[in-house]
Amino acid sequence: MQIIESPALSAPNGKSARVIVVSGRIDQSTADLFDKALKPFLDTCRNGEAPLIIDFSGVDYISSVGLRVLMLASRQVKSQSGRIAIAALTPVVAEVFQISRFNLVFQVFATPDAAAAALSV
Amino acid sequence: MLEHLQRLFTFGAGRPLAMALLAVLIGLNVVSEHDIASADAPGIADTALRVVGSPFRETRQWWFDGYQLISPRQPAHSPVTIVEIDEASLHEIGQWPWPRNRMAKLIDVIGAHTPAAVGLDIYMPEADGTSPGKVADNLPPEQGTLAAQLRRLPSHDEQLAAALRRVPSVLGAAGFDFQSISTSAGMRTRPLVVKGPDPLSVVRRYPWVLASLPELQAAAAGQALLSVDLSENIVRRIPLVVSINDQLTSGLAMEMLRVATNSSAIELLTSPQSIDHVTVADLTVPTQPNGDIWLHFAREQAGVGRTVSAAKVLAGQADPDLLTGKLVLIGLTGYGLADRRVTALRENVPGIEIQAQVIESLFEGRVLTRPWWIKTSEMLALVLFGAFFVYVVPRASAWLMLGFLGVSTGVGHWAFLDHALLVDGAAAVLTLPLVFGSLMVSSTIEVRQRNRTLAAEQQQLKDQALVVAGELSAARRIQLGSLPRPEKVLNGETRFGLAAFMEPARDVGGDLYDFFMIDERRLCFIVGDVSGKGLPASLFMAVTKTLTQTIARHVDAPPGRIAELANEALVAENPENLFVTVVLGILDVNSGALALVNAGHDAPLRRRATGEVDHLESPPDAGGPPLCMMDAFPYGTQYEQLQPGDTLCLITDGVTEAMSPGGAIYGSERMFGVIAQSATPGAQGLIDELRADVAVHVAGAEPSDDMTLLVIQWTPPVS
Repeated sequence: MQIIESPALSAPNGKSARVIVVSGRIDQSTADLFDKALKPFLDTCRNGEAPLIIDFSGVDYISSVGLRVLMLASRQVKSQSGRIAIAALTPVVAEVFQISRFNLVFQVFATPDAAAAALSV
Repeated sequence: MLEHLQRLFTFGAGRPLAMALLAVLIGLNVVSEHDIASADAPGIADTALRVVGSPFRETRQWWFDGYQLISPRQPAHSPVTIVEIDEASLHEIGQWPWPRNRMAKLIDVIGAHTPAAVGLDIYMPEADGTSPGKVADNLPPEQGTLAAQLRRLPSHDEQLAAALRRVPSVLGAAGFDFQSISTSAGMRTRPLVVKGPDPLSVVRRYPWVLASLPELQAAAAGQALLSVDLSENIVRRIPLVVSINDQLTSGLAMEMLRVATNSSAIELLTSPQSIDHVTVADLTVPTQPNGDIWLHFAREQAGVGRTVSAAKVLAGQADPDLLTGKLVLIGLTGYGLADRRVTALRENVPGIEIQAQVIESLFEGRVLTRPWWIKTSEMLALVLFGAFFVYVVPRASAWLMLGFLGVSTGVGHWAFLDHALLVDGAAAVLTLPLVFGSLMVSSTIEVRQRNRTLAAEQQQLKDQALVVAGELSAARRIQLGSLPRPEKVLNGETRFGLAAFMEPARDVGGDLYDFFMIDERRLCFIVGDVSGKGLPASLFMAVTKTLTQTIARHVDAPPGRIAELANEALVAENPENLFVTVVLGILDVNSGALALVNAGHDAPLRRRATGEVDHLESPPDAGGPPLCMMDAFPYGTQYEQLQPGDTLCLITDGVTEAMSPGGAIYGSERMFGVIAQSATPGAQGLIDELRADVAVHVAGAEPSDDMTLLVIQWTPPVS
């Protein structure tokens, strides 16, 4: 599991969004790592700042413990009045999201660009 | 207090302490050789220095004695003959003191053989009471004629003076620090020639002297001092020059040589605060700064051949070779008369023997010296090696130290034998083991402290491991202990079959299953997975299970409503922000009507009696997210109708996500296949087959997540 920040994306309206690309498995053994790596990005995702887009195109699998990290992330950002979304789910992860109804917690988009366009309003 | 001491010796301080010790010991060593003996009136400071330096001073003297004991001087040939007034002489001639005319006779007999010089180790401060005149004084008045005749005869002292005049003779005297009836303030000494600064302040000074009668002094060719200072009652150093009442005076040996060579004067070559050499004729002797020489003693036994009894000489039986051309010393050796001294060889010898050995040593040029540069070299070597030793600790070993001590002892002995130099090996022997010991103590304490720290850390780790293990086992007990046994609901039951299995991962405790009869015909079952691990997850699991069961039993509502109520209750008490995915179903075991809610969990599988397998996916208006993910959610209920022989299979993702050692996931397709092709009848049969197949896939790898299986087969009686 690792997180790499990629260049910021510009929305059609000229505003930019911050994008981080996650890759690997997020399960019992890597969830803590995922949590720690995510933390600095979450801390800056607040009202007035650029929205955060988590690109999940490299994530093979996410377990319930990984979903919990995402849930906590969502709560933190919500409390900071920030904006956050997930984009580009792989089929396995998309199935997990669907089973757990995670789209009720997180905004999910097909691509980072779509997410940037939707969030940078 | 003990703590402070320990701190002094701990790692950081171990070396500084050793260096400080080295410096102090070297300082004491330097002080110990500072010649305080020459000071007239040692003050408190001098006395203090003497005391603190005494261990070094004494061991140094023993060390020097050691050289002599191992290698005593081997006299080659003797220029000296001792004419000893021994027990035999007293037996022949009579009691001591002898009448001086008898002494005169002895000197005349010796003189007849033309000795090089004759020295007397005998003090004669008073007139001879046996002289004829003195005898006359004692005669009664009626013997007046005899008395007059006696008085006309020369006194014994005159006879002795005459004898002394006939040979090159030297009279001995003794220096005194105090006055007595026999002492005087001076004697007839031949002036010494000083070349260089006045050495009076460095030599041993005596205010008084015990000398022979002035008329005897006048008759002798030379006067000399016989005094020898003792250190710890042992004779080691002999003064060649002393002063009497501020007049420089020679010791017996040098004066004998002067008289024998008919030289005019003994010369002193001096530098500031030091007498460097004493010379007479063509003999130059290096001295210690105060005019002493270190004597290299020969065994007394070695001098037996150069000793002859006075009685034998008087009887004319002495070997002429012992007297002709020799430096003849006359002295007392008889016990009770002789002034006996202990030498560095630990032999108790008459004073005359020591004087003879001084002369022999001067003749052989065998005088031990300890020039200033020896001391400097010793100290330098000690500082360098000591510092090196401290530096290389802890690699320094006792062997290294013993090696240095061995080498310095060897060098010391070589210098003693080949160069008559006195090297103080005792300084190293005293200093290095102390420094070594301090380093050893320091490092021992250091190691012990380090071990203690290590042990404490290990204990801490062990404690933590125990705590974790305790938590885990508690978590596992909570998880497994609360699981129901199938017999509870199966007791005589024919309408359905049920089997369950759970395998917790090592550090996870989040899965749950439960089943119970709500009433005679309704079976309620739950499978769930808490998103978390350890004790918090187990407790959350237990709460979830209890809560759902309570609600299901007491609220007559469809599963969606039960989930909604459970969600609200769980959200209220969820400090860890956990959530739980759950499938909760209620099966009417008479009709096969199934109502269920899926809160974010894997959809249950249904195996038809025909072998078809499908997922019981939630329709859009049923189910919802995991419990506790949303604060409130209206979960909808999903309704299904089972056919006789249908089997429900509920799992957690520990099954589908079970990983092989290579990292491959078991997967739902493979699970589908196993369920579809299961040939073993009954709920337990399906579980056994699934477990066996997962075990093949996992191949012994440690499970990363809990694995739970719950299988229910509806088998209504044929109506």
